[in-house]
Amino acid sequence: MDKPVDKHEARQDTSRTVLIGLYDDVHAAGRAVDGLEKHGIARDKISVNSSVPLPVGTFRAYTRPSRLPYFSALGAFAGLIAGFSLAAGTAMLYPIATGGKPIVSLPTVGVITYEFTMLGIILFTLVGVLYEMGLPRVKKPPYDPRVSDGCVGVLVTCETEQISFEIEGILREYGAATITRFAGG
Amino acid sequence: MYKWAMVVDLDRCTGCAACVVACRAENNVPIAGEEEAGKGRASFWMRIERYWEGEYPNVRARYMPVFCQQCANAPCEPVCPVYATYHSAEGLNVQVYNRCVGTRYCANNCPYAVRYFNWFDPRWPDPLPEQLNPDVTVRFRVMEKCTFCIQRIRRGKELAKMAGRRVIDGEIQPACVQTCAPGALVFGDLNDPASRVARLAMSPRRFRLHEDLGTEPAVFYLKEQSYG
Amino acid sequence: MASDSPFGSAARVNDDILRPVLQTTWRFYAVVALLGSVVLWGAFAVWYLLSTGIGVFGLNRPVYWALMIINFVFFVGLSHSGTLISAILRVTHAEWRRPITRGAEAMTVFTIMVAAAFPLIHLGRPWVFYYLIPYPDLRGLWPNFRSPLIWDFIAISTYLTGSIIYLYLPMIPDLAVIRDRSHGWRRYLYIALSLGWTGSEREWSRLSRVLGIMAVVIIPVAVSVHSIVSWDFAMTIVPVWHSTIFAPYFVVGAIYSGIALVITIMVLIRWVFNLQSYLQPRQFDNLGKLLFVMSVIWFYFWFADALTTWYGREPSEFAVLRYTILGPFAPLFWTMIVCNLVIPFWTMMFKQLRRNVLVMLVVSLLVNVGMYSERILIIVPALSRGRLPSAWGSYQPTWVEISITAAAFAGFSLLYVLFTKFFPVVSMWEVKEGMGERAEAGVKEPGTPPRKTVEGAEGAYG
Repeated sequence: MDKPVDKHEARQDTSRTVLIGLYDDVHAAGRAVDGLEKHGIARDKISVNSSVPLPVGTFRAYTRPSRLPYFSALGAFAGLIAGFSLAAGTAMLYPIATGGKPIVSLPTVGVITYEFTMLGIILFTLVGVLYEMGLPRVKKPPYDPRVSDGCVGVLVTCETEQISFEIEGILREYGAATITRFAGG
Repeated sequence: MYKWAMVVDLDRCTGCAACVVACRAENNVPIAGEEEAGKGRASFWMRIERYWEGEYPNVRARYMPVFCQQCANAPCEPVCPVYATYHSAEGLNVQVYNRCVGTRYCANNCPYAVRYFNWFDPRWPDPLPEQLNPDVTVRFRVMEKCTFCIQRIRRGKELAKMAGRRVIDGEIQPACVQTCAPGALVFGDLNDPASRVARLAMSPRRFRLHEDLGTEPAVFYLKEQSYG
Repeated sequence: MASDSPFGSAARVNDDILRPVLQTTWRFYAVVALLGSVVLWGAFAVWYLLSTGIGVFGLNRPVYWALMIINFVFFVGLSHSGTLISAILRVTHAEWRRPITRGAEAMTVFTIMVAAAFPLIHLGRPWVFYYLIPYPDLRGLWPNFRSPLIWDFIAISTYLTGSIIYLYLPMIPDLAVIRDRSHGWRRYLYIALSLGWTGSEREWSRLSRVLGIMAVVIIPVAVSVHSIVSWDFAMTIVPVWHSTIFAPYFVVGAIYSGIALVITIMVLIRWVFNLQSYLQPRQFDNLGKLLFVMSVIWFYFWFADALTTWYGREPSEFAVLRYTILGPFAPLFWTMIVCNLVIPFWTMMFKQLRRNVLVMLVVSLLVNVGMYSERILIIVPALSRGRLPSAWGSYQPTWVEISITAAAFAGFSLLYVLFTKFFPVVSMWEVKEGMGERAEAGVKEPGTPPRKTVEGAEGAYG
C-alpha cells in the first residue's frame, strides 16, 4: 500500500466501515443475512436493527449467553446482607428495649431482609441489563431512523473500504432499498 | 434498681378528680377548651372513668382513675418507627418528645387509650401560663402521656444519691398521689418487698386492666369490696 | 409478501399511538388546568394544615388515623394491579395483554407516588419525616426496624423503585421511536431517555430476558407491599385489626380495586385517544372475567373474617362489627356490599356486558367506590370502638381532609395525563410484535390470538 498523502485519507483507510442495508420487511432482511453468510461474512460482523423483536426462525438466533442471572443473584446476595445487617445490626448497635420484645427478633428482621433482597435483585438486574445491552451509548451508533417505522436494517462491519464495496453489492443484490455508510464503526 | 409501680384502691377513690387537676398543673398539660374537648381532643394524663351501675332508682356510680399503665410489655413501644417511646430499666414507659414525629401509631395500639396528642400548639387561658412547671417540657404536636411524674422521680433519686442511700418508701410522690385526699393512690418501688406498693400489689383484691392482653401493667387496682 | 409482513403496519401503529404524544389539543390544556387547580387547592389545604396543626383534621382520641390513612391504603391498593397484572400476563405470555401493559404499569407508578404522600401529610410533625429514613442520628440511633411503619416505608420504596424500572425498561424501544420522530427540545429529551437504543438483536434479546426476570421479581414484591400495609393494622392488638387473614384479604382487595382502575383507565384512554382498534372488546372481556373472579374472592375473604368475629362474640371485637354493620356506618357497609359484590357479580357474569365498554366503565368506577368504603370501614370503626367503652368515639372528616383527598385524585389524574403527553400509553413494540405473530400464523382477523402460538417469543433468544 502506498504511503498515505493525506492524514484524513489515512484514517479513512485504516478505520472500519459500517454499512446499513435497509429492507422493507424481515424476510428480505433474513435472505440478505443468509446471503452474506454464504459469501463468507462471519455472523458476528452482521447485526440486525428492528423495531420489534425478530420473529423466531427468521434468523439464526443470537446465541451469546446472557449473564443477567448472575447479576440478579449477586443483587439478591447484596440485598440480603444489607437488609439483615440494617435490621439486626443497627438494633444491636444501639439496643433499646421496647414492649418486652427481644432486641433482634428474627421475624421482623426477615421482613426487612426480604424487601432488601428484592430491591437488590431489581437494582443489580437493571445495572446488569444496561451493561449487557451496552446502554447508555455515549457515541452515536450507526443507525437509520427509518428502522422505527418498520424497516429492518442489516448492519455489516467491514474491516477495509475495499471489502465494503463488495458487501454493498451483496446487500443490493438482496433488494436493499437504501444503503448508508458509517465511517469508523 | 428500682421498679416503679402504682396501686389504685378503688374502695378509697371518691371520684373527686383532685388528681386530675394536680396532674394538669404539675405536667403542663394543655387546655383544649370546650369546643375541642367536645370533639374528643381534651388531654387528661390522669382521667376519672365513671360507670353507672343498676337501674334508677338503685343507681350507683363507680369511679376508676385511668392513666398510663406503664406496661412491662407495652404494645405502644415496638410500633414506634423512631424509638420515641421505649422501656426504661426502671419499668417506665418513656416518651421522648424530641424524637416523636407524630405517627400516632402508639396511641392506636394502646388498649387503655391513655396516650394524648397535641393537635394544636399548646394553649392555656390566663393566668394559667403563670403557673407552668419549669421542670416539665411544653409539648408541641407530639404524643404525650402520664410519666409517673418522672421529674419528681429524678429529683428523689438525686437527693437519695447525694445522701448516699436508696429512695425511702413514700419519699417520691407523683402529683396525683400527693393530692389524693382519701389516699387511694400509692406509689413506690416494687423491688422493695417492704414498700407499701409491693405489699398492696399482693392483695387478694388486686387486678390489672385488661390483664388478658398480657401487657403486664405496673398499675394495680384494688377492687371495691361489698359492704352489703 | 410485504403486505402481510409483520412490519407492514408498523408505521401506522406509530402514527396511531404517538398522535397524542406529538400533537397537543386545547382539550389537553383544559384538563391540565382543571386538575391543576384542584391540586393547588389541595396544596393550600396542606399549607393550612402545617401552619395550624393536625387538629384541623377531624381526628380525635380514639380515632387517631382516618382519611389520610384510608387514602394511603386505597391508593396503595390501586397501585397493586398495574404492575402485577402486567407481570402476570407477561409471565404467562397472555396474548391480549399487549395493549394493556404500559397503561397499567404507569398507573402503578403514579398511584404509589400519590399514596406515599399520605403518611407524610398525616404526621404530627411532617418536617421531621426524615427520622424514618434508615440512617443513624447524631447519637448513633437508627430507626426502629421492629415497627411495621418502617417495613412499610421500605416496602413502598422498593415497590416504587421496581415499578418505575419495570415501566421504563419495556418503554426504551418506544422512546427510540419517538426520538426518531420528534423535533426541538423534546428530541433531546428522548435521545437521553432512549439511551441510544438501536433495536439490535443483542438489545432485544437482553430486553426480553430482563423483562422475564423483572416480571417474576415484581410479583412477590407487589404481594409483600400490600401484606405489609395490612400488617400496619394486623400487628396491633386493636380488636378486629389484629387478624391473621388481613394480609391476604388486603392483597385480594388491592388486586380487585386495581383491576377496576385499569379498566377505568383503559376505557378513558380508548375514548380520548381513539384507540378503538387496539383496546378491543376482547381486552375488556378478559379484564371483566378477572373482575368477576376477584369480586367473589374478595367477598370470600371478607366473609371469612367477619364470620369468625360474629360467631366468636368476643365482646370488644363484636362491638366493632356491630358498629360497622348496624351502627352509623350501615349505609357505607351496604354500599360496599352492593358495589363490591352484587353489581360486579351480576354484570361481569355476562359476556355481552363485559364486552360493552360503557358498562365496564360504570362497573369499574362502582367497584372503586365500594373499595373506598371498605377502606373506611376497616379503619374508622375499629378505632372508634376500643377496648375501654369510656374511650369510645367517632369521626367526621373536615374540609381540609376532603380537599387533600380531592387533590390526591386530581393529582393522580394529572400525573397520568402528563404521562400520556410525554410517553406512548400503549406499548407500541409489543402491539407490533403481536401483529407480526398473527401474520406469521396466518390469522387475518385482527384481535384473535395466533393459531400457532410462538413458543416463548420473548425468551427466544435467551
